[in-house]
Amino acid sequence: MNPNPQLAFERNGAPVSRADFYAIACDPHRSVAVEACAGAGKTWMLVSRMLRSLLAGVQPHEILAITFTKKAAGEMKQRLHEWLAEFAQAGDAQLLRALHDRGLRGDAAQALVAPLRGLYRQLLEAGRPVQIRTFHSWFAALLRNAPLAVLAELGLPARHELLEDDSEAVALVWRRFHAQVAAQPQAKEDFLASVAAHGRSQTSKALHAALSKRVEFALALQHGVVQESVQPWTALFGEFGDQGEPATVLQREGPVRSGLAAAAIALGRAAAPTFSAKGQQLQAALAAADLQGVCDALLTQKGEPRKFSEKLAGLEAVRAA
Amino acid sequence: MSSIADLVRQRGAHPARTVVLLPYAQLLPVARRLWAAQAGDGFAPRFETSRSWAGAMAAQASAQDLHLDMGRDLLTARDWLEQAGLGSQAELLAPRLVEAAWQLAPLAAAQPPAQRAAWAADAAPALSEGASPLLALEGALARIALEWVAASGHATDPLLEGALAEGLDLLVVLEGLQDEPVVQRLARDLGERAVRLPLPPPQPPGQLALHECADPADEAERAAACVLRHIEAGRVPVALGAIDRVLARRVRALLAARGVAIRDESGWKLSTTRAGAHVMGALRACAWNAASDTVVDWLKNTPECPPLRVSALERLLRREGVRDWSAVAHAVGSEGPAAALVAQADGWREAMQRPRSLVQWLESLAGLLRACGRMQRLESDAAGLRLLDALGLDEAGQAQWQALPQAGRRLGLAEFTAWVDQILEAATFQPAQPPQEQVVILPLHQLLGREVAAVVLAGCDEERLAPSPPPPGDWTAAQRTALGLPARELLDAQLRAGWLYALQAPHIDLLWRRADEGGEPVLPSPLVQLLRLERGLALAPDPRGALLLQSQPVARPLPEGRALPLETLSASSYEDLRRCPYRFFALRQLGLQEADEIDADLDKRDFGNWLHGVLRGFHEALREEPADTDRAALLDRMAQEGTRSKGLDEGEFLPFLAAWPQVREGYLAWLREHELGERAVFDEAEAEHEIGLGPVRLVGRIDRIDRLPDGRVLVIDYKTEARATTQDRIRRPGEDTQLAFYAALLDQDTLRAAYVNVSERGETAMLEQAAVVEARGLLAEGILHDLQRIAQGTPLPALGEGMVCDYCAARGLCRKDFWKE
Repeated sequence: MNPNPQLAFERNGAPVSRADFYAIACDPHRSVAVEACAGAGKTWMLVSRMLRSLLAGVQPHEILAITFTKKAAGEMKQRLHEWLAEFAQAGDAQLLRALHDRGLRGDAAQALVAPLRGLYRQLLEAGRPVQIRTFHSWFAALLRNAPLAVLAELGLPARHELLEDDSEAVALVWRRFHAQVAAQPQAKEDFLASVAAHGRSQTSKALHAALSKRVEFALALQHGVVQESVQPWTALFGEFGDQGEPATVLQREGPVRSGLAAAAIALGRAAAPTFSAKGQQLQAALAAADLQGVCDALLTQKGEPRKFSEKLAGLEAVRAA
Repeated sequence: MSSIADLVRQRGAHPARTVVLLPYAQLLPVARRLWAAQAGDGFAPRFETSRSWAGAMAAQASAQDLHLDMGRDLLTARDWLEQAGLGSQAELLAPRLVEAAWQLAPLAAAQPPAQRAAWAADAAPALSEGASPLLALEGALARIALEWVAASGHATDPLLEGALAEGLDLLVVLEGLQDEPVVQRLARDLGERAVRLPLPPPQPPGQLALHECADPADEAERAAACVLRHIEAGRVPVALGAIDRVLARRVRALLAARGVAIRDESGWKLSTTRAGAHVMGALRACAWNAASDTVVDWLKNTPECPPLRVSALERLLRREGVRDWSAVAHAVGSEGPAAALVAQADGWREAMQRPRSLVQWLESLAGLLRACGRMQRLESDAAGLRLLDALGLDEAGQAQWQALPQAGRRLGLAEFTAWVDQILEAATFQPAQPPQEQVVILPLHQLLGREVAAVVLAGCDEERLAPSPPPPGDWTAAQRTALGLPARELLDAQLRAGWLYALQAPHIDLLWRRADEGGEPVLPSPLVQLLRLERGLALAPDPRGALLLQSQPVARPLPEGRALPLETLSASSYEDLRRCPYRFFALRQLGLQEADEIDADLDKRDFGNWLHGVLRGFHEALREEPADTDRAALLDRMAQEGTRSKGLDEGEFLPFLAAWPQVREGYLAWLREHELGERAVFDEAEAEHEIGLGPVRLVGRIDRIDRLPDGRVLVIDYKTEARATTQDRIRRPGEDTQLAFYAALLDQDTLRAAYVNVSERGETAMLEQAAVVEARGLLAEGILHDLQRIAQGTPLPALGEGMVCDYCAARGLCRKDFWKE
């Protein structure tokens, strides 16, 4: 348990008590954005907000919850169902406590005890349920109901089916993509340059990764911010500080280079011949400022660190590198 | 029944001049039986539904009328769309227009024909009211649909024309869950002479048993078990509610396997019958750009095509990876049985290409089905007959089409195919009914008024049995009100009422799933939840009985290969024997082979094959060239030649071609070194060699042989794999059989052998097997020894491990994954 639970909650940057936090977060008359780590109880809070909205007289089908995964949507539905079923059988004290937990106080809470107990039946008789859906299913529903003229304007087909995952579609576009690249001189030149520099499989991996982030890329392109949107090396690996990009760092004297040099010497002195060979390889690569050579020496083909023996003197130097 | 009899008596009506209208047709025999049981043999009233009563005096429909027949209405819809200037979008809009018109049809039918135009004029403004310009197309469809239903005659028109009701003493309307507009109208017109009997309020449910199931498969099994338990207890007939058609079909299959007599009133889509699939398969295979897969699939299901011939063609197409049917004729050449089959198929396909009128299309389709031997099968199959009827492919149907002006419309094959598909999707097939059923499968609302001993309702979850699903069609709530379409709330109330009436049998089983096919959680239907909330019901025990089964462990197979001597042995087949004797037995001695996918993406293997061809062409050409020839240019020429002759798509092969300049430079650099250092001279490439060894002939194709200055030869095998993999090969000479095997193929006392690893990343390197002569000796001994043992009947156990097994085609045969260890 957190020794000082008060510190765990903040509102607009200022610390706030747990009770006050939930009084605000569950209040259906407010719009809130909640940021919390995994397991902090975001689902609890969201479903509590639904309860409070329903108690405030909102129709179930007027509540829409959108999640990113079916699992999350399922959990949320399940949670709402369990609570309602439980509250339908619960005594006054339990219901009052539940209302308190969700930010209601005094008479307001007291007045909602009976409605909370009756909420389950009310929902079951209401017909249309609370809309708890994944954003895929929500947008598919929007597409299904979209006016034909709007679909035509957006260049979307009038008939479609929802793919659970896009691998099928990716396989279809891939051949066409290569055919297009082959037909466009500039694209072809870029493609050839990429394969020459990074190899076929790395190029393919990068393109697949870009395709899986196609929406992000298309939007960034639309706003002319692709360059700023892709994090440069220095931002991603902050621990290397201001050393610069890996390819250039080897060309300068500095902590990274000297660390690698120490590792090379440590490895070179090792008793096992394979290790010392790697040490020599590392030394040679450093001398040539050859990034690939450094990686070959220290990493396996899968890019994982090689397993150097624990007994090795100067192991720390190698690890640090 | 007694209240009907009372009514007849009170009104002084003669039973023979009394009509009782029932909410749906399946109740007719029930009602007649009940009346007979109660009133004996005297005069009985006529029991009818609105359709059956009007049908006795069927109205003459005009050609442009709405017909409630998908095929015909789709064609008429095109005429309506053309008149409205929407002809160019007919393909997309026609199905929507038909759907909208079908939804409005009951409302129009409730208007006497003379008043329909006025009714439509009154309703029309509601369709355009407040509509945004974005909804112009939807608005136009709604208006056309309204105009269409108003201009049409309807099957129930005789009811409103007075002739039927003339001389009638009494009309008794038994109300169902839904009001039927035309019946309401008729009752109103008849005034005093009509009596509407509302549904009696639902009684409390019978004995309820609740079953929460893990998933759809579990749900189907338990539902079938519930039915079987009822039958065993003598509770027949059992009603199985078809809340979800797929689930009902699954339960049906389980019950049919137990020999249960089933009457299926819900049936399934014609498109999901074998007959439907065959016809759609034929049409799709006739598309000009059909994939080889599609056409081969059709030919496999074509009675006129000899199966062996089709499999031979399929093998060829799989081997060559011919994806598009248009390339098949070229691939099979002009000779041989495969060519004859392709020519036959192309003859059939050719006859289906040109656009033509619908009547001609139907003739062509019938001709195609006859030519390929399918027609006879359709005619001898219940679903097939239903299909011929639905499409109007039989003689009577064809005559009807010929009489219809809109069937003269010209369509392309794709349009015709879509038309057929829509008909098969819309039509239902009901299998033959047994004389005395134990189980009746029916939609939930048809349980109303049925006499059944037990009801089993599977699919009672929040998705399949949602109380308030969105009402069908694109109508807004305001339009629904204006037109008189039932509101969402009314549909909700009807469904809930239907549910309560469905629960009135003496025994009811309710089943739902906790999770869907994909493992996603699903809640029980709110209707079930409400029932549990009100009655606090616990779950029933699993209706399935437990069976005690003897364990039947699978032992490792130990086949003998004595009876299957091999005449030839290749390097790879011997490699199989070394890695796993069972694999050798299955793949080499029995000759079982895995088939390649026809539609596969180009991969590294294609690159390897291409590169082998390019290098062969290069070295053979280089011999003829002067010494100072531009080697890079020559190699490039060979690469282009190779891409062309293998028919590789430039776009798809681009990733490999992109690496080509590096590969070329790397290879040429190595070659210079090789020629200078070893002073090796190219001798031959990809030549077949064979040599006798004891009882077999060793055979193989050697990638390349060079001649060295000392007169020895250098055997070379190209590898495009990762360098480390090739290094592993030469590390243990005793285990690498490939180079030793090639060495054994040559009649040379001493020789050298090496792998040449041509990397995509640009480097080429030769990795020599130093001890190849010794390895060859060991290999020959090994082969002789192994073959002798096979000949003596030594069993061939499955010994495979790791990588060999991961991709082994025989894994399903050796049952490695099921052995009792």
